[in-house]
Amino acid sequence: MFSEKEKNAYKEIKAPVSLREKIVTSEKTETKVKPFFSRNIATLAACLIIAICIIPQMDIIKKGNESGVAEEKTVTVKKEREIVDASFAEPIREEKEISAKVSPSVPEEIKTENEPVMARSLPEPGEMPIEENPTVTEKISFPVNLNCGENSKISVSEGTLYLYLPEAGTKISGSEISATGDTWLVWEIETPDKTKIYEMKMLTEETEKKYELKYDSSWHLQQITE
Amino acid sequence: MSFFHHSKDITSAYDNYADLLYRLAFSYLGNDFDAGDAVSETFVRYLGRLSDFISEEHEKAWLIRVLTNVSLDMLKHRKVRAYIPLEEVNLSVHEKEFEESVFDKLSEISPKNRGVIILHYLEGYSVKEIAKIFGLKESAVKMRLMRGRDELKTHLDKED
Repeated sequence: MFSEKEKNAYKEIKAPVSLREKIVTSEKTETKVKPFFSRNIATLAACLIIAICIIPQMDIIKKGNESGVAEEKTVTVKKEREIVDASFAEPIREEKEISAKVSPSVPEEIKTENEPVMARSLPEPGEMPIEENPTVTEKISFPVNLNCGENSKISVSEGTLYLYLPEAGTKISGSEISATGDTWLVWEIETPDKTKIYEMKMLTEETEKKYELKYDSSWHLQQITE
Repeated sequence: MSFFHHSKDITSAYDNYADLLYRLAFSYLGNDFDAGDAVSETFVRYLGRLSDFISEEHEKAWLIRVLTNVSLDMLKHRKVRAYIPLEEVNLSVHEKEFEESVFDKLSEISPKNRGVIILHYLEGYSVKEIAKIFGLKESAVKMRLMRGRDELKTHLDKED
């Protein structure tokens, strides 16, 4: 097919030094220009979430402690006056310990009893209510080059085909389109299923060709095969 | 560490694969300037890629595939330079020599079959490896090789 001389001539082709400088330098410049916040956008977002969700709740806890303790002190004093008994010292002390966790919304009658009060704990930062199963739709485009015959019909099992006609300046789309000659298409699928095989058919007057789009686990990519 | 991580170290990626990609782009596009543009575009996409590569082989295959798509896209949309300015001609050192030998032959093969022919006959890739790179069945690669050879044979017969 090719002589040794031709193979050697081919192998001698090297990318020019100027291209290396252009690509590597442009990448470095791009990195330098990037401001601090754009590089750490994820960190910034995390900080913002913490600021919005955690800090106001911490404020509530603080307020709750203060008011709860203050009210309890009053109650404790009353009880000490009414029942002057050493045996009550222990529950009262216990109540004091618990009171640190009591929020100001606890009803008055509960506080006046000497029973331990169960405090309603606030959710931990990791337990913050998060919207369950957020629906994320992802449209993936696959460029396809087909050598069509005269008035070939191209159809897909799922998704949309887009064909751009530069001469006419128009874009055709749909699950079935007609094309002639060497054609570049874009096959767009919304959130492709990795377990599913999608089909594309090219029907000419004489033949029918079938292509499959499926997930290639060895490359972790969706691939189109003939 | 069992996985090869995509470090986005463009310097090492460039040093490892630039020559291969450039040769391939040159074979598709036929001149230094467009080949350079295609390689640049490929590395821009490399930097923009979000997920990691599972191996160095995967990284190489991905780059070849993207470069092929970029080159074919440039051919399709006629972004290839129709002429080269006179003052830039001297920069194309090897172009002339190459044009006389291999490129004459390669230019007779359709772009669709050309990549497969180059990788198999000039870069020494096996049919199986090419099938993996382009996401084709081995039978499809063999078919493209056969068609490419036929195209070349037809051209040579015409010359004779």
